[in-house]
Amino acid sequence: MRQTVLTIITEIDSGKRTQLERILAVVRSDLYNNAYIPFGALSLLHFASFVIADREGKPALLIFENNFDGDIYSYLDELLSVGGHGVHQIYQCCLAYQPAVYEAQKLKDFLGANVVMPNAYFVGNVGRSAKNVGDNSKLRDTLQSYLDQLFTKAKPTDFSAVQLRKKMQGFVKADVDPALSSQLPPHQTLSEKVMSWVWLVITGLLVLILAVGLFPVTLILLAILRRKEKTDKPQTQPASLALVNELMSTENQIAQNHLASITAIKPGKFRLNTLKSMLFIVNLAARVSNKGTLSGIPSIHFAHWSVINDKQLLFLSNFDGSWTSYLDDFIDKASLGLTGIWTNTAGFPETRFLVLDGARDEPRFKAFARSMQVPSLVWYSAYPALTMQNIDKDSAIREDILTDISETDTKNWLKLF
Amino acid sequence: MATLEDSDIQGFVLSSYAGKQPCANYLLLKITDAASCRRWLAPIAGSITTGKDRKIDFSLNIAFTASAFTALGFTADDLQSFSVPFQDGMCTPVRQQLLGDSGKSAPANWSWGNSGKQVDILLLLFAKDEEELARQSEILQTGVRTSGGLELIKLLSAGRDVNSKEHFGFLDGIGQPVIEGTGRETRQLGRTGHATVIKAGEFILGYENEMQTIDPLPATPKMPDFGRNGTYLVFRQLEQDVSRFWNYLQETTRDASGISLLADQEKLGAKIVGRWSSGAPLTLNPHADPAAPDGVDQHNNFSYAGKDPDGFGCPIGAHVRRTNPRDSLFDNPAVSLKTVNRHRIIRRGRSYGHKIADVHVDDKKERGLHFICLNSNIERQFEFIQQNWANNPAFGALNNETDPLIGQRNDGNVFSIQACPARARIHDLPEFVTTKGGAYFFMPGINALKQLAG
Repeated sequence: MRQTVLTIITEIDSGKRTQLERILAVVRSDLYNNAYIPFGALSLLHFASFVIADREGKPALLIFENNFDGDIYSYLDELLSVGGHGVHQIYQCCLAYQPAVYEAQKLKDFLGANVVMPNAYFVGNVGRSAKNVGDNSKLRDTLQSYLDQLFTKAKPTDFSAVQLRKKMQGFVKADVDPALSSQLPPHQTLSEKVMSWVWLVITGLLVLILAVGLFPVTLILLAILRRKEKTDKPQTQPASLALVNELMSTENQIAQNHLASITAIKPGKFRLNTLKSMLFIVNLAARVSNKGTLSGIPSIHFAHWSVINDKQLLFLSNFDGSWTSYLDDFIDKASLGLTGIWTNTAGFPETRFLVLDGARDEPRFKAFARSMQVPSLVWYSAYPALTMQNIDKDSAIREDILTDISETDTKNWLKLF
Repeated sequence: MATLEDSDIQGFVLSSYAGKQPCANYLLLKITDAASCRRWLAPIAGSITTGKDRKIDFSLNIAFTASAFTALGFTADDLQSFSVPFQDGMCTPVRQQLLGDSGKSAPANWSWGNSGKQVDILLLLFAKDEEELARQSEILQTGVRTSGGLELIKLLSAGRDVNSKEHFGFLDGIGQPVIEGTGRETRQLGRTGHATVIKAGEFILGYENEMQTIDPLPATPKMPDFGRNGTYLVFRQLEQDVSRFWNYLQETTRDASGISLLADQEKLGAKIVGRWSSGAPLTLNPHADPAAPDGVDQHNNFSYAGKDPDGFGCPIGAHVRRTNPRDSLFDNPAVSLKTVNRHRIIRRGRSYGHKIADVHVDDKKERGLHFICLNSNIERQFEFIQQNWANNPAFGALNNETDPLIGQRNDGNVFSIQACPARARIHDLPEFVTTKGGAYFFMPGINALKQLAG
């Protein structure tokens, strides 16, 4: 099952902003069962959020983030079937939405028309549906309890690895819902894997040929870049304690956290085009990422970048652990890529040659990141206790629960518990 | 490699003084009048032990909370140049949540450091014996009383540590990093068979850190170098419930006939800690506490990725593995070490209260650890360890477990002990440690201190 990552972006009617924020506060107070969008009833959804982007001299934007299984229309059908009236009330606070009474088709058309596909996106657990994730964790939990039960009467060492696994298999066949142990599909089809690599290699070669073939142009572009980098003004002030505390007051409640960031793209075509090119490359690279890591960062469930109206860069990420650990991972493992992206936005720390320095200046980079972050007014996770590593482990348990494996593999499989 | 300005760094940053000065008092003060406080501070600043001093009888050091700086005239803008947690203080809801200070450990129940008993200044006194400590403590307390600008909120004592074992019965303070430029590598090698040398900037401001950068210094317009040679000091008073710990071990190891062998209790305790009572790591000694070696013990000379990747010796969630995962944090050991080195702290804590007579009998007396650590970035070091490792229910891909020794409990209260063919799990872990007080302090360099005294 493929996952889709997108946002729905609409202009807010300034006169109805307070009303909108009130609705979102209600949604947030009870994510699973609120009267507007009872997220708990959405079987296709992994993560969703609502954030607001303020703009100078223009209506603010409502950004509705959705990370879900399958295509947009099946998802919207499910969304409207469980929360159509609520979603209608939310969009009544937005400018271009006309209907006074709820009509599913009109709302669906409106939402579809305002979809913004990301310039670049990353999915950590490719091919694992939200339902899989939930089922796998249930299976692991059931088996853990079974082992606990078993070991009240006997010591673990009373069994060989093979004997123990046989008992567990017997228990699963006899007492566990077969839906929890059925075969999972592969993460990706072979052709998906191959094509991702083909695109990346072709693009890489093209960029290389152009850069070398048009060497004088490359030099000129580099000179322009360096001149801009020397005159750009980085933000030097640390983020205020009040802002940091406002953001932190909703963080660290569950296994994952949410980061929503909106930065102003530096003026001029040069920066805009550089940014879009960087995102294009990052997107191709993200397609071939394996083992669920983005540039070696093992903790991202879903992340994406969208250029809005050629003016703002929107970044939305759903990741494991604390903000500090996420930013540290960014700096340690992905500073080139992220510097290449955000250096095109205002206030980013001083950069050389597009990708050097920048994010490596930890205190200023973190201050920049906090200053550009906007509150996640609503943020929902379908599996609040599971990290990427947990999901991976649960998946590995399920994949081999009923297969025929060697003694060595049996021992390794038992380590998953 | 940077040369450390020893004479401008407070001695406590470079030494615990534990060898020569086993007795300690901590005076927690509140500023009641800024001008009088300054007058009191001027002579004190001159008598602070520096990193260059090698005092035999007595050492004195000092640190300040954010509220002290406010009282002494720092503006909100000035304070913004300090670490966010320092500005925030230890007992705000945000901090409380990420440090796990809930339930019995909630700041409302603290005996100091909360809003009712706010502290501004910490004086750290270390002496060669009880008499010297009493004498110096009396002099300083008289100074505080007669200053007209200070009030003593609390006096905390740390007694002699006869065998360096903390109250639960385990040798403590083994895995200490060496600050680059202090030349302590050889000594650490001789003590534990291994020395991890960490860049000075991780522990002292103004030097290069593990990111190969020098972080901006806390500063005010009048004192642009205020942060130089300073560091952040984290103080937590942690009560240890020794009989609860050992009774839990006893109950959990009872066999079918109700018998619990002391050896089994010690083994389970070692699994929880990750080291045997002697300090020997389980990763190197999975089955029993080894006899003391003839030469150097190798208590710190081990890593997990090569010898113990699955936790069959030291469990994945054991206390020492959570608080210093060494090379086992990610699949790649080298990347793990690099990352872990940016999250280290220097521990300078000491035990308080009397040793319990019988570990299984609750004598109703308070004892514990005055946990003190030093770091140049509270958020990236102390808080990170506490939040992302110790209290993280999903640490190491575990499910719903927290540090079995110091962690706050959620609903799971489980601890997995990995083994072949399968793990054992123990359930219903109670809390063995309770936070009783604490604060984030800044320990300035000597010049900064003199400027502060004006």
